[in-house]
Order: sequence, then structure tokens, then C-alpha cells
Amino acid sequence: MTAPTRPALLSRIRFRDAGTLLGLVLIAVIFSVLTPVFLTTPNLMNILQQSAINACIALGMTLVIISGGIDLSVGPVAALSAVLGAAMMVAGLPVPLAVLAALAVGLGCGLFNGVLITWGGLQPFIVTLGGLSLFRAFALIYTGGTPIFGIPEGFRAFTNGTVAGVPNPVLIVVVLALAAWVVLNRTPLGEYMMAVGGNEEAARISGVPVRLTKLAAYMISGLMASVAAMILIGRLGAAEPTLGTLWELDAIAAAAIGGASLMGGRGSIMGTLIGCVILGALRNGLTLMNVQAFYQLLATGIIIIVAMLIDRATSGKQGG
Amino acid sequence: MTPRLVLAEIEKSFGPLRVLHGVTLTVAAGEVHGLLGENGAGKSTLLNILSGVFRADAGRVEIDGRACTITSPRDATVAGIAMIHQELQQVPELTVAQNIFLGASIRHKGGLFIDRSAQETEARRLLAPLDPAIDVTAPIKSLRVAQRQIVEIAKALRARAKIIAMDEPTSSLTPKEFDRLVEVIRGLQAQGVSVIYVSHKMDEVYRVCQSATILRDGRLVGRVDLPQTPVGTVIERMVGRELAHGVHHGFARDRVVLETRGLTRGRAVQDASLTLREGEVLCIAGLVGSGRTELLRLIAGVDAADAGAVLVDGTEVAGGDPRRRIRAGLGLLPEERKRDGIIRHRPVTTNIALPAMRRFSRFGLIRRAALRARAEELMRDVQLRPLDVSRPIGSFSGGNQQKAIIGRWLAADTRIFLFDEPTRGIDVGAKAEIYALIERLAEQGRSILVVSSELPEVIRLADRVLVMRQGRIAAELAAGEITEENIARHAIPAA
Amino acid sequence: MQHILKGGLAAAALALSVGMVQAQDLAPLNSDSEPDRMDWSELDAKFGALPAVPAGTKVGGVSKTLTNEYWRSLGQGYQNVADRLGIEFVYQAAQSEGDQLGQLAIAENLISQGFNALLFSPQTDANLIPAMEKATAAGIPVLNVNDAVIPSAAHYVGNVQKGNGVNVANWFIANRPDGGKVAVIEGQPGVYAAGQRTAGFTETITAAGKFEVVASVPANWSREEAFNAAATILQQYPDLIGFYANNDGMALGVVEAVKAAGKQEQVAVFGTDGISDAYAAVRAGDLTGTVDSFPVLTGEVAMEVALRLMAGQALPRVVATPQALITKDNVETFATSDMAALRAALLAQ
Repeated sequence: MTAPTRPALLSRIRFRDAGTLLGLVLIAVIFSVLTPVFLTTPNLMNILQQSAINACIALGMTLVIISGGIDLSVGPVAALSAVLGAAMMVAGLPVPLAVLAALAVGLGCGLFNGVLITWGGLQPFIVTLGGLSLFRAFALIYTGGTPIFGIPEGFRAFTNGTVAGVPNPVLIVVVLALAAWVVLNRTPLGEYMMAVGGNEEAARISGVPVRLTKLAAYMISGLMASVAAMILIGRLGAAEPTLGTLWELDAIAAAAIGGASLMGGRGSIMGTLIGCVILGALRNGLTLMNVQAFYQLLATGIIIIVAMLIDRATSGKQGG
Repeated sequence: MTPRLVLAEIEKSFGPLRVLHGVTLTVAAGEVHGLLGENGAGKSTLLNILSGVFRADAGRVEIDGRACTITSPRDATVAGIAMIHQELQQVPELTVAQNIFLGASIRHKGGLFIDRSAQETEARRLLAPLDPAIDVTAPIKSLRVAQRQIVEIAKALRARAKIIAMDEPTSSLTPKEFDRLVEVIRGLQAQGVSVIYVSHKMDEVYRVCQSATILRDGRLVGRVDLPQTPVGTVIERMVGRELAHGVHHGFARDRVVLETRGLTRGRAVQDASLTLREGEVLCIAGLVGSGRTELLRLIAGVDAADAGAVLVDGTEVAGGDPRRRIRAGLGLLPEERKRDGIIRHRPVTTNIALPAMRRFSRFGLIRRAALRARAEELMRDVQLRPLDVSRPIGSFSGGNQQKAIIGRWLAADTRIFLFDEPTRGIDVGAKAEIYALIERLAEQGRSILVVSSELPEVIRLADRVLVMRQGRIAAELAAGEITEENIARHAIPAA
Repeated sequence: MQHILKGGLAAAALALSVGMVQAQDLAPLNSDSEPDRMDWSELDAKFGALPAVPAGTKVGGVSKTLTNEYWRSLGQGYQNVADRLGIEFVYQAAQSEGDQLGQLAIAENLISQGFNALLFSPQTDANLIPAMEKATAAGIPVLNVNDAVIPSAAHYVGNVQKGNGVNVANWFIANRPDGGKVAVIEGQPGVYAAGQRTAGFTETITAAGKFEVVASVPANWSREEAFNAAATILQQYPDLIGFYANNDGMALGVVEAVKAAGKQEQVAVFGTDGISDAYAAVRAGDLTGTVDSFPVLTGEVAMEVALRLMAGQALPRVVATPQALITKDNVETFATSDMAALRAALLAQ
């Protein structure tokens, strides 16, 4: 059977992704002209490695946003699974078991958020805002505020390692992104997410399992947060209860730059990934040019708003 | 003499749906002018353009011979146009005087503080000729609807309105209150105020109006002088081509597929029991708010019932979850398609696949090619235009969206279709297609429940009619008894 | 074979990974108690004058955030030495104190630019570890300058954090012979400097016998949180005689709370860091005192230590930087922007 012609919507999303990619290329061109170090392989790997953690979080966030919600609790979820996972590793639990347990912590936090939102009927913003404090508090109380050192070298070697020059965290993100892409574009769950985010009432009337869909989105987000936590504690060699501050905003920014609509129903895995790299490249390039962090913040703000304005202008042409 | 108001060649479209095709309306000073047409004929849109809520795509507005541009409700007020909506737009907590002066308050010297007593004196003066019994210091919520309408008129006079448009002003008035309203309107006429009067009730229109403009499907049918033109002619011109939609065919068989027993939800639906047979088209008629939509949602499991049962093929479907009802063979096609029916940004394919996702998946993955093929087959069958199933469903016209939703339930092998206002917001051509589709569904042995406010639609489609009134099923009309008069007689509550 | 299976993904990955850091053979650093240490004042005496700097030397600095005066002043100190000796110097900081990954990214981005030495002031004890390991692997000397302590750091320049608290406690012991109730406003929980400052104060003043630390609450370096905490404590203990705050921003918040309670005469308030607002408040008599750790001078010392290390001098692991309790009596002596005069005043102490 010949491949069917691409549906128009797919090509429309890909059109949006192409726009994001164009933005990235533009930023890359500017920086490579301004600073010679930018376009070297080690530096590019650097950018990818630094974007990996945000990408992990942003992938989960994208699915939550597409299903019409928001997850503000990702940073503290990461912190909680980091300190619990680290404590288990330090206590001598085999690393794979400790990692699995830490991932279970993330899933559990997602379950907690999701149940309150779906069966509790509470607003996602408020529930995850509560989670933001709650999970952070658990992490601080558990550790008494002090970092946990002594992550096993073997685990550190894994997260700091490379395959063919590509840092392992980047490879992990690539695998997760592929999985997220398949979920979103090839499984009923993905369609349900877009339907629930696009029009919850219509989805319900059409027989979409609305609650389970939302629950799945929050659990995936929690899981992704703990994956990010594992990557980070491997890199740092320590788990800090304060890690993950403001991660939610970076992730939302990446998703938004990548074309996710905070109204729900729309978003793209590819776009989010490119959005993460844009944010990473921006930070990297400006540091290389010795521009202070305040201006990096300024540039980030401008990029987000420009992306939104372009979205607005182009979607206007689509006639709603 | 220059007319008070001229609306000339007004055009308006909402997305792909054209709702006004060059409509012209003229009202003389001191004239009461009826605006007539069926639901969806474009009356509300025209009034909304006049009152600045919508902007016309093309056309002119002239008041007392001067062209004027109305782009906002404020422009309309300044031009001397006041609108009295069916749902009165008042702040229930504020007093009569405060409502009359809402947005145009009288201030003390210095302009900072509202001069309440001056407002109340002025409000009393305005109300004196209309209804002196109204207490200007009473909160609006303590007034009856008829009085609130009078307050609205006083507010229009306060704004020195030269043109007052009334949208279905009598829908909740008693005959006595109507008499009072007629007096008030005569008083306005005497002051030279023009009134545009929208109503479905022919006897009222004949009593109040001197002339009328008739719209049908967004087009101007014509202007009539009222006492001279016979009622029959007016109705014929209003209904027009509706009659050309075709005649009723019945395919009902004996086997009962759906039964409800004593369905109840609050006061909205009380003790509703009905049966639906294989291949039958059962219409539920009644006034807006009589509980028809609510009943349909109960049957579809979208809302939970306080009491009662839904049986499919004689077996009770437990649980209020739409998914169970869908599995039992029910499918709801909601009235507000944008709000409840479609996932706007998603293509027709996925909109169709939602209830039957499992059918289009293997090993947890969606079989896109199979889905696409099935969607194309279904959409060719229902004649989707344009026949492009990968376009976002939101970019289609209302009629084509409805066809896609019919396709959604066909793909899920739904046997019982629950249509809520199947042709609301759909233009005439597509209406006929939807009717034909519904008929075909029945012919294939599927059963159809239709909620409709359009009597010609009911007459065209129904094998049998249930009339709802105040949350209850008030009457059942068999094939021979389905007439507008019979339906209306059962639908309207005894005063 | 068995142990690879047992080690699961971690060991398998170890086999894949290349370019890993060498094993850490240094004991985890405790900058206050590390025995391999010296005071800044002994540098010239023990190691001679500052060695000559080769042309084209580049040094990079990464600090917490420039919204805090302390880190701006530290950078000023680095810059002073760099300007004097013609060194190319780059100074970067994260957006805020909470931005751990941002700071890590900045540090990593600097490594690739060919600096001869790097000066890190990490947000937390852990967040710059990968950057430090990467730099060390690339043979770039890294100095941990102040505050958070990277346990594996080979070189640390900064104050004896505990000394801050000890200085203030000694003031109370000398000036409030009758003793009384005192309270501590702590910085962010888990941060090394905060813990050490609090411990130094609490241990010293408790040992004196007549004092009781009735409250010790974290205010996360925030002036507003400190204000609220102090107001609550004052209400609870109306006979309180003093506050020690882990930094000046919080101390100034405490001052406002004391003023609001009308207890300026009764309650002595101390801060830490010696920021300019604190100096002004000491002059005005609002703030009883602050422990100045002379950030500009600290920056100068740190830069000098970096240059000595680059020249191959075998310095101890920790170099302690100057510190002095500033009160109304000596505020004018230390409020100088002339670093040479300041050095002289401190050496004369």
C-alpha cells in the first residue's frame, strides 16, 4: 500500500515545528558569527547536555499541557525522587532498584496530582501549586535540608558517559522523546489527550475516558521529573532537596516556544525539544559572549513572546 | 418623509456560514415594525448588528437620513438605538434607578460621587407614564419580568432612544401584562419613537405592528403592510421553501430498542418514560427550557439521573458514564456542536474515531491508514464537502460538521442516534441533506430520537412526537396527529 | 561477568563511558575545620610576593547572582587584581540564587573557552560538581571561593564561616555581662555557611553560660521573611536582648521589626557580610553591628591565590580570608574603599 498523503493537520504542525527550527537555526547562525567557539562539536554537545534535563521535564509538561492542564510541581517531584533515590543508593540498594524506586516516587506524585484533579475536581494550577510546596517540603524534611552525597561512581559514570561522543543524558532524552512522540501521535492515549485538551466536554460525550487520560498525563509528567532527577544526581554526584527550583517555568517556556497551547489540545514533541535547545543555545551563546545572566533572562522573555506573537498571527490566518 | 431607520443591503457571515444576504429594512418615525422569520432566519443577527454587538460585513445604516457607522454597543446608544433583549441585561442586585442609570450615572458637582436622589427623581419621572407603581429604590431582582421590561424601556428613554428593538418581549408575559405592554408601546409611538418588534406570535404581531419585514434563511423575503396582508400569506412567506425539504417517510418496525423508565433529574426532567423502536424517528418537541435537551443528556449518560433507568434491547444499562451508553449502542449529537461536539483543531478522521478508537488500533497503536480509509468511506457516504478528512473539523461549515459527527457514530456502529437540534445553525441546503441522512439511518434500521424547536422539522421527520412541558412528557402524538397546532397546544403551559 | 550483571545499567554504562573523571582521593572538604590551611595575612610571608603573570592569562569567575551586592563586590575584587596585572577576566553569574542548573550551564560554557583558572562560588555544595570535575580533567585549576563548599574541591578561599558567629557571640559576652535571651535568624537550611555561622554563634554564646538561644529559625536569606520571623519572636519573648542574622539583608529586616516593636534600646541586632546598607545602618545606630568579610578584599585575595597556584606554588587547601566585627566604634576605619588602607587596618588588628 502506498503511503497515504500526509494529513493537512500533520503538515500544519510540522509547519509550526519548521518555524521553531528556523528560530533555532537563526539563533545558531547569529552566535556562530559572533563567537567562534559556538559551532564546535564539544560546545554543541555541551548545549544538548545542558538542555537534557529541561527536555525531560518539558516532554512530560507538553503532554500535560496538551491535555489541557499544567504541572507546576515538577521541580519538587524531581527533588523528592532525587533525595529518596540517592538515599537508597547510599544505603547500598542496587542502583537499578533504587532508580526504579525513584521513578515510582515520580509516578506516585503524578498519581496524587492526577487523582485530585480528576476525581477531586480541583483545578490543575492549584493542585500542582500545592504539590509544589508539598513535595518540596517532603524532600526538605526527609533530608533536614542537607544534600546527600556519595552517589555510587558506577551510576555517575553512566550519566556522565557518552556513546560515540554523545552524552548519555542526551541519548536518554532522545529515547524518551521518541516514546512521547509515539504516545502522542500513534496511540489512542495521545488522541485522547488532544481531544480532552481541545474540548473536554465534546471528548466526554464522544466516549473518551477523560479522567484516565488526564491521570496518565500527570503520571507521565511525574515520571519524567524523576528521570530528570536521576540524570541530575548522576551528574552532580549528590542529591539536593532544593534542586529543581523554577524547572516548571523553563519547561512551560520550552513547550510554548515549541507551539504548545496553554489552552490545551495543541502541542508538539518535536517543537518542545527544539524549544529546549533554543533556550539552552541562548544561554550558552550569551555566556560565551560574556553577556550577563540578566540579559539572558531578557532574551528568553523576548523569544517566548515573539514565538507567541508569531503563533497568534499565523493561527489567525488559519481562520481559527 | 425620510424614514427614521434604514438598514440597507446588510451582509454578514460567521466563518464559512453566511447568515445575512443583503437584507434591507426600513422603519418610519413612530412606526412599530415587526421583524419576522423562523429560527435561524437571521433576525437576531440583524438586531445584533443594529445594536453594535456584531459588525456587518457590508451594508449601510441610516438614521433620519444620515449615514451612521455602528461598530460598538456604545455607538448604537449614541445613535439613539436601544435594544431590549429576551434575556434582560440587568444587574439584579442594584436598584431600579441604578439600573436605569447604569453606565450614565448622574454625579454630584465635581463628578466624583453619584447623586442617588437625583437619579431616583429622574427615574420616577421616566417611569411615571409607563408604570408608576414601580418603586425606583427596589432592587431589580424583586420585580416581575414584565416590570423589569418596563424598566428596560425607561432606560432606553433615559438614553433618548429614537429606535427601540424588542426581541421576543412577550415570551414570559401574561395576557394582561401584554395588554399593558401594548399601551406602553402606543405611548412610545405617540412620542415619535420607532419600535422594531420581534415575535413568533402572529396574533401579537398583528395587534402591535403596522408593518413587518420577513426574513428567511438570511435573505429578505419582503416587506408587508400588516392589517392588509392575510396571516396565511405571511406564514407562507416565512416558511417558504421549508416545504420543499420533502415529505415524511416512515421505516419504524415493531421491536423496541430503547426504553426509559421514570428518568428524573432535579426539576429539569421529571419521571420521563418513553420507548423507541427499531427504525423509528421519535421527535421530542416543546418550548426551550422544557427539559428536552436535559432528557437527551440523561439518556446519553452525559448527566447523571437522580432516578430512573435506561434500557437498551430490554436490558438496563447501569452507570451514568457516557462510555457505557456508547458501548450499548447510543450516541449523542449535541446542539452546540462547537461547545460539545467537535475537537476543533483535530482532523475529521480523529473526530470520527474518538468513540471507536479501539477498533482503529492494533497493539496499542492507531492504524492511521485504516482509520483514514474508513473515514473517507463514511464521509463520501454522507457527502462531506470538501471531502478532505484530514482537514481540521473546525474549518468545515456547521452542516458538514454535523455530517462528520453522524459519521462518528456510524463508525462506532451506533444503533440509537440522539439528535439535539440537528439543523441548528445549518443553512437550508445542508438541512435537506441532514434530513435525508436521518431518514437513511432509519431505513437501515437504526433508531433516532430528535429534539427540535422547529415545527416544520418535526413534521418532516417524526414518525411519532412526544411533547415536553415543564420537565415532563405532556403528550404523545401519533402519526396522524402531528400538526403545529397540536404540538403548540401541549407545549404551552396553561396560564 | 557476574558483577556487571549485578551492577546492572550502571556498570554497563561505565563500560560505555569515556573521558570520565579520575577517582576522588581528597577527603570531603570542611572549609572551617580543614587542617591544611593558612590565613591570608601569611601569604606574602610564607610564599613571597605575587609571582609575575604570563602574558595572555585568562581567568573566569562564576558566582551566585549579581542581584546580591556581596557577589558584585567579590567580582570587583577579582577585577581589581586583573586590571592591575593586565589579566583578561570574565565574570558571570546566574539569574538568581535558586538557579542551580543555570549556574552549572554557565560554568560549563566557560570551561570550553580556554581559561587558565576558574573561580567558582557555587549556589549549593553540589550544583557545580560536574563543571569542577570537567575543568579538573582538562587541567584547569578551580578555586572554590566562599560560601557553599564543594566537598571535592582542591582549593578553597573564603572566610571561616563559623568565625562570623563566634565574633558576634563574643560581642554579647563582652558587652552584655548579665546575659539574656537571644535569637538567630538563619539563612537557607542546608547551606554550609548558614549552618556554620549559626553553630559558631550558638556554641560560643551558650558556652558562656548566661545566655539562652530561645529561637533559631530560617528566613532563607530573605529580608521580608526575616522581618516576619523577628516580629513573631519579639512578641513571644518580650525580654529578648539580641538577634544574630546569618546575613545583612535579613539583619536589616530584623532591624525594621525591632523598630516596629519600639525596642531599639533593648535589642542588639547583628548581621553578616558588611554590605553598604549595613554600614549605613551601623552608622545610623539602627544595626548594632555586622561581621564584615570584606568581599572586595576577599576577591583580591582569591585572585592572587589563583595566580600563585598557576605559578606552581604549593598552597594549603584552604586560605582563610579577612573578617572583622564592625560596630559604631570602628565603622569609619573599615568603611574605606582604599584596599591598601583596609589591608593595613586588618593586619594591624
